[in-house]
Amino acid sequence: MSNNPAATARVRAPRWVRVRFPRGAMFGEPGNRAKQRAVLRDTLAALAAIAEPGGSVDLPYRWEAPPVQWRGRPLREGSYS
Amino acid sequence: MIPRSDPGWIAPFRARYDVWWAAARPLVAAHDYAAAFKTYPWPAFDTAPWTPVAMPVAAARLAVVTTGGLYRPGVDRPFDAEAPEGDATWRAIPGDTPLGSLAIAHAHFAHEVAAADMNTIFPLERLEELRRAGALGALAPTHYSTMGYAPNAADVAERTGPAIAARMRDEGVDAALVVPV
Repeated sequence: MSNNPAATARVRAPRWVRVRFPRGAMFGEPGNRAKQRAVLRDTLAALAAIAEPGGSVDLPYRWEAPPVQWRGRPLREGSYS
Repeated sequence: MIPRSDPGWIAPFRARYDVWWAAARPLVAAHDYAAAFKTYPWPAFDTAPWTPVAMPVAAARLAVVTTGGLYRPGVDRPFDAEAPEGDATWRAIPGDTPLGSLAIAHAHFAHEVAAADMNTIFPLERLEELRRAGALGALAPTHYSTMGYAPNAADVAERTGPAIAARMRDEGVDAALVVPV
């Protein structure tokens, strides 16, 4: 999994899914079981579907809670640090 | 030919890493990670390693690797969160470990989400639900945590990764879900 496509592509992960969640919350909001399961189902589907080394699938889910705060600043979509 | 991981990058990376670390260490000591990692000697890979999926996912045995620095207090030695050069060790976490009993040693991310729900970085409960629903064959008896801050990629490649992979092979793991934190 990755929320940092540039770094993941650089290290040539065998196969990966891109999520648009903040760092430390790769499966969505805490307690949102349905979304977490959806992310995992799609990830498992990608395991079967990706047919080429380095292939990836972009998952459509978005963070739907107040931004996670890190060192006094909100982490926005695509924040991985 | 199926691309396999090629260790040829390791020796030149170690040489560049040593030079980088000599300059980066005082910046890391000052917690100026942005400056320190501006010149990080990223290894360059020509290909992605690849193993075809040999079975339907609904029949596969899955293990999870999180880099969240998780450990079992009183059972596992905590990761060294203070080490300037990070910690490339790993912990084996039995699959029946209550998620609420796990502690987080990784100090470089906001813990609030994982503290509220560990499935957000180590989704064992959600995966068990999917297994019961038939989406997955089995969960491995053992899952793994490493530390998100472990900048010596050569140590991770030569020690951490192979040790975890050997354990996974012993447990008949078909696929690993790697969750970066």
